[in-house]
Amino acid sequence: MPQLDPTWFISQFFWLCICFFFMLFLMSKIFIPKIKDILEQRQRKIDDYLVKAHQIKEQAEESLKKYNEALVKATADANEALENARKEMNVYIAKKQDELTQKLNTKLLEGEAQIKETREKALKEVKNISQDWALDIVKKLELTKIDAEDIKKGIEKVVNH
Amino acid sequence: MSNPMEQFNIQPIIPIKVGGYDISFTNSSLFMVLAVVVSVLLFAICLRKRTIVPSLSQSVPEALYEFISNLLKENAGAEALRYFSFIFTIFLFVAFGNLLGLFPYSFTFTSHVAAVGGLSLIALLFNICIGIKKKKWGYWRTFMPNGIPMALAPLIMPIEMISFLSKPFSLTVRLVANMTVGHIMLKIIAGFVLALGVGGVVPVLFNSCIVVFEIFIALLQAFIYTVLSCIYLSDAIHSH
Repeated sequence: MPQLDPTWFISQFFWLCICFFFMLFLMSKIFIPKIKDILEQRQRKIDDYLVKAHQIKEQAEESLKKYNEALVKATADANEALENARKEMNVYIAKKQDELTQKLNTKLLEGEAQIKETREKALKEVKNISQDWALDIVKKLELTKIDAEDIKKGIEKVVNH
Repeated sequence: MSNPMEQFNIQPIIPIKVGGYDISFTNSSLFMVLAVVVSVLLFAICLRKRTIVPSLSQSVPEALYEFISNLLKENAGAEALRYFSFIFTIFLFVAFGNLLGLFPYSFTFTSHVAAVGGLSLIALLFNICIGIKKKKWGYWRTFMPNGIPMALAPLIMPIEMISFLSKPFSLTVRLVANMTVGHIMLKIIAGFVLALGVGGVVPVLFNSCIVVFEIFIALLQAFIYTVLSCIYLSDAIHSH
């Protein structure tokens, strides 16, 4: 077997050492640092992006928190404003109702007074007409004992009943 | 049919002799140099324009880096990442050695005991250096597992030493045997192509399938060699 022929052992070992150590030198001094460098750069970039993503996420969460707080505050403010408006409205309605009731009462009183006045006027007219009619009847019946004063009293008595 | 072992013959290209030692530049040396040149060129091209979002070509060395890095972390812990360059180079050197050997008329230096054994020896020496640097004299405890009575030391320590020294041997034999057998099989089947005439199409198709399988084996063996190197490195770094 040529593999076991010791003639070329030293030559092979010599060239192996030269080639291997030369390759080791090139790899360790040139290529491996290049690969290592680019991998580190990539890792740094990825880490940077991850940190940025984390920061953006935190900012977004902070914004969301602020938004929710603002929403809660706005809702509370709106509810308070609504409540105030409701209260003002109730006060206004109550005031208007009072005014209306007062007006209605005044109108009612005026109406009643007017009715009373009309009634009294009508009664007065009824009294006068009744008195005139009664006087005419008395004259036609020639009842001399009954004078105008008696008739007036009699009619007053009937009407006041 | 030519001898299937011929493909493993080493041919000198540039004869060099230093101090009585023959260190000629051979076809084996040529393919070692080619493994370095091809892998370095591939890395240089792929990493020419580096961007944060990687292109397809940039992903290849990055994926290899991540793969070997994870392999080392899983097998030897994060502490072993200091020696990443060494393990990464071992993987690339073996993988490209195996893959280049699959080209027709090429030479597979990873099928040679001297080349792979030399690499395993380098890995072993590397592990010993790390172990001694890290544990100082305590490194000798590597050959004396915890809980073993001192009385058994004369028996256990030689066994542990043999076990320790057999690691590069097993690494070497595994890779060499796999590469040798695969290439012999390819050569034998290829020999049938001309012999069978028109029917030679069958061994061609069969060989095509085996080449695909051999590509898989080439990468798998490089992976196994690297995993075992990581485990041996872990033994050197951590306590027994």
